[in-house]
Amino acid sequence: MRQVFALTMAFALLPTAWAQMPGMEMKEGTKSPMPTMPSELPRWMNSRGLDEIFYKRGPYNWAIDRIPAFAKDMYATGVGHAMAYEALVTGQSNQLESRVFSKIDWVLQHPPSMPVDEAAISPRFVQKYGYLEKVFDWAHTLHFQTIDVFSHPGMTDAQKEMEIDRLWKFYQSEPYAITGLPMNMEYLDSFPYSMTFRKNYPKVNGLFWGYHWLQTVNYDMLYRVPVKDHVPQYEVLGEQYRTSELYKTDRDFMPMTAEMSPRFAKRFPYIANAFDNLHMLHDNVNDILAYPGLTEKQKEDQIKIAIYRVLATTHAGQKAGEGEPMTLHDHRHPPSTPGMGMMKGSEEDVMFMSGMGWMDMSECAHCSIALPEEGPWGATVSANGWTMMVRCMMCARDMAAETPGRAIIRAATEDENRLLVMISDEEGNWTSNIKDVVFLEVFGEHPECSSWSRAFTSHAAFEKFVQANPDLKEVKPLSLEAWSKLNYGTPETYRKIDRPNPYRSGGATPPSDGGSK
Amino acid sequence: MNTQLFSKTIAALAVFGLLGMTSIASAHEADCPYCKLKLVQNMKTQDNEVVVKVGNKRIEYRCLYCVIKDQKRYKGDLVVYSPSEKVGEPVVLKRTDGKWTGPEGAVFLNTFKKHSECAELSRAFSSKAAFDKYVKDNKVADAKALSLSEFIALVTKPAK
Amino acid sequence: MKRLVTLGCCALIASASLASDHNNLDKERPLRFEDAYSIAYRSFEFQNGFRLDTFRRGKPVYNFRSELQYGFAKNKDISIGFEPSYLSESRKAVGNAVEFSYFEGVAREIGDRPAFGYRVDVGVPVSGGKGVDLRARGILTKTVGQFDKIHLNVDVLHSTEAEPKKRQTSLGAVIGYSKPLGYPRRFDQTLLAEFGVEQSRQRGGNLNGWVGLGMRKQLSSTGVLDFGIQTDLFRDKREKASPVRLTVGYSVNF
Repeated sequence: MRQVFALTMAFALLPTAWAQMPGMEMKEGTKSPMPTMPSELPRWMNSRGLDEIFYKRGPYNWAIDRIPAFAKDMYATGVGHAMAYEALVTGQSNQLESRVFSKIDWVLQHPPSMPVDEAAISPRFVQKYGYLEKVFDWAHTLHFQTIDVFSHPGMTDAQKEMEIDRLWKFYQSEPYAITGLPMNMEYLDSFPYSMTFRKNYPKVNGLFWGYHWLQTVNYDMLYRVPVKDHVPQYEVLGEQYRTSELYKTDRDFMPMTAEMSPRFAKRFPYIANAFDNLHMLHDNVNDILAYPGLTEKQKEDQIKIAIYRVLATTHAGQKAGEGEPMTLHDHRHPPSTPGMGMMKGSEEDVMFMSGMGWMDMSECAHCSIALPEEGPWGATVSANGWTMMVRCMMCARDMAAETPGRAIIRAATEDENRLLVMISDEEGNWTSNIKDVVFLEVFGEHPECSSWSRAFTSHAAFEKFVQANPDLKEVKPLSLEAWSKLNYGTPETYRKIDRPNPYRSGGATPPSDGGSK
Repeated sequence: MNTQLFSKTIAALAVFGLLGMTSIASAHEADCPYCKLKLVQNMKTQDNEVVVKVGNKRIEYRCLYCVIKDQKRYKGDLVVYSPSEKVGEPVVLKRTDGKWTGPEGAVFLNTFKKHSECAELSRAFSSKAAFDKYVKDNKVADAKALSLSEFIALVTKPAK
Repeated sequence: MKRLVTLGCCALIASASLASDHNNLDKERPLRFEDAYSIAYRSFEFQNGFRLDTFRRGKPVYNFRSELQYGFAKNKDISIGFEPSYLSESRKAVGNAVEFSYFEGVAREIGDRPAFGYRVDVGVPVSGGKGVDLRARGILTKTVGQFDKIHLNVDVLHSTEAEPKKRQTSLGAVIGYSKPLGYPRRFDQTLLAEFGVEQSRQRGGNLNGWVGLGMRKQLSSTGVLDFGIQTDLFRDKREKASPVRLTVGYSVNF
């Protein structure tokens, strides 16, 4: 209660306090004033100790190494973070887009086969911002351990989900934990220093957001997917990461967990939120370090405030789904997406996703019909860097068919414990993780597509379904090959939400569209 | 709640109850895979969507130039539906075993300087007459009617 | 003397710093110095090593060292260690001492201030000796240049029941240097070097001095291999100088 009061007071006084600080006027295009120090920071921020904490003990630790290419790419993200931070605090920022970028890029293309100690690569950064490293380290531990659990072959899906919840509690038991409440991303990105890094260092910012793409896209690759199907999926995702996602400089905003792994975010919204809040803290820190209008002391203070904003302790007693818009305690979320805070321009379920445009998250991405309330139904499609939710197998296939490159479909079957994972090549030839998979597809009207376009784990399961649905009793099952050849194109029901990009209109400064590898 | 029921509930939530969670990209209005500019949609008076059929995929490109430039990513045979001067009647090109063929008499335009103009200035026509009319109506400068082989040679010519 | 062989060669009972990470330096893994950091809170680290001490006038001594550490609190760990030896000259195996240690990393490097830590070791004889050996070590670690680190270890050794003609209390110091090898392209090995001096345990004896060179290499996410070579530069004439001391070890955390 005392913390809440202190925070309220601190933020209420922000404009006045900041106006008294020379050179700290509000920046055009941002809505919030420069934050001032809350009256009471958590005591641990001033601890002199290294305070390193071991990860939760379990048989699953380092199971990430079962997906070697993924593990290596993940390990390399630590190097990338550390090298950039070290450059920023050692007077090498003028080389960030050239020499440092090349150095990082070499590591990303030749990733280490074992985890690296980020602190050893960025000793000066850690000397200066050791309290920040504690927050990062602890959140990265959660990242890795959740991945380890999903990658471990020795547990059932239910056991894994229970362990993930235990990991979350373990994570929250330390004062460095980041809140699992959704936070307003527009607010967190609205300070005078916001967007400085992405404007001034688009290539390195692209790398950071590329890491965040990888760190979030993997969860749907792993979640409730048999471990044998992890590696094949990562062959697709890893190539996308290394050849494209790392070098994108035209993203409007960082990748969000619920964008990249909607199934995981639905099941574990608090973890998805914590990762997004962590990634936004990374952005805040980058912006603060790159912002020329701050002294070294002011940078230290702003980083402490940025940490404070996302700590779980700061939001104790708050509730998801509630809060005053565009404030520290704006914990609203799109109704259909508890694992994501409100974004710039978002209204209810309609929001703008960078590189994808406006969308209604309660609707099928392909046919724009509302997603059903009850299962089994639907699938996700991952292709070209995005992941989307669709109502039926037909929508999944046809959406993948109109997208260049390889694709992954993860789909429900009649057996709730067997997720269908299909991977296509460049030409839309699909392979399946379920050998005897068959399909029902009787083209009809899209509003009912989830009832006439489905996947079954076996012929017998198909027969059982059609027997139970007399309208379908004459229907023959389709083999994977026959099903793959079908294509109904863009549905007539598809509707476009035609609004301008909120990140590139009004006062907001878009990221640079320049830069390349 | 017994364990089994709990487990099933979680599973149902996890696998099936995934309402509205997606990043619903407007894949139908995606960017051109080659030039990365917005695809130009068909209009009442003129088709613009260049569709490549490869295997089970149907990929849209912004112009014919982009298709030829990007063809190496596809190993199999291609069918290209290139918008012509007639709405709903594309010039159909095929790449079979690496060899391009097209309808007799078809000619091609390729004069754009910037990709923002490629959809208008890299096109196929069913005849030379149709080409001339398009050039005249749209006041296309430096237009030269190319055969398919000339068009492909021009597009695939190594950059200086 | 037996305890001297153990303690003299080992200088102190080790603590790890950050679990089994090649960047984090533990005493005797493979050199005698260590850095100022404890192992992680709640972690265990199990270290095993083999050391061969050669002598100009005498047959070699083979040592096996095993130590289990536990991070019982943030920046604090405790450990128990054993170091039995085989004396080839007398063809005897001796248990030497069981060593109990407490380590505290008091402060990390903040700005220009070095990291500071200390440790206290108690060696209890298991091969017939009397009394216990106590050791206190203060440790400073400071980054120099970009990634290189200097480590200063200062020791005070006290025997509650020193043998005749032996000092009851002696002092020692080690300057250590560590440098990650392969940056910015590889991140799995660290080079170590040290120069150390200590008072001879002989009453009225001179200083003993040595240098060492070593390497720590990450073999897996949790395991580190180390190997080192040391040589005595000068040694009290009543003690046997070791021209070559070879060490190899493996540490794993869990």
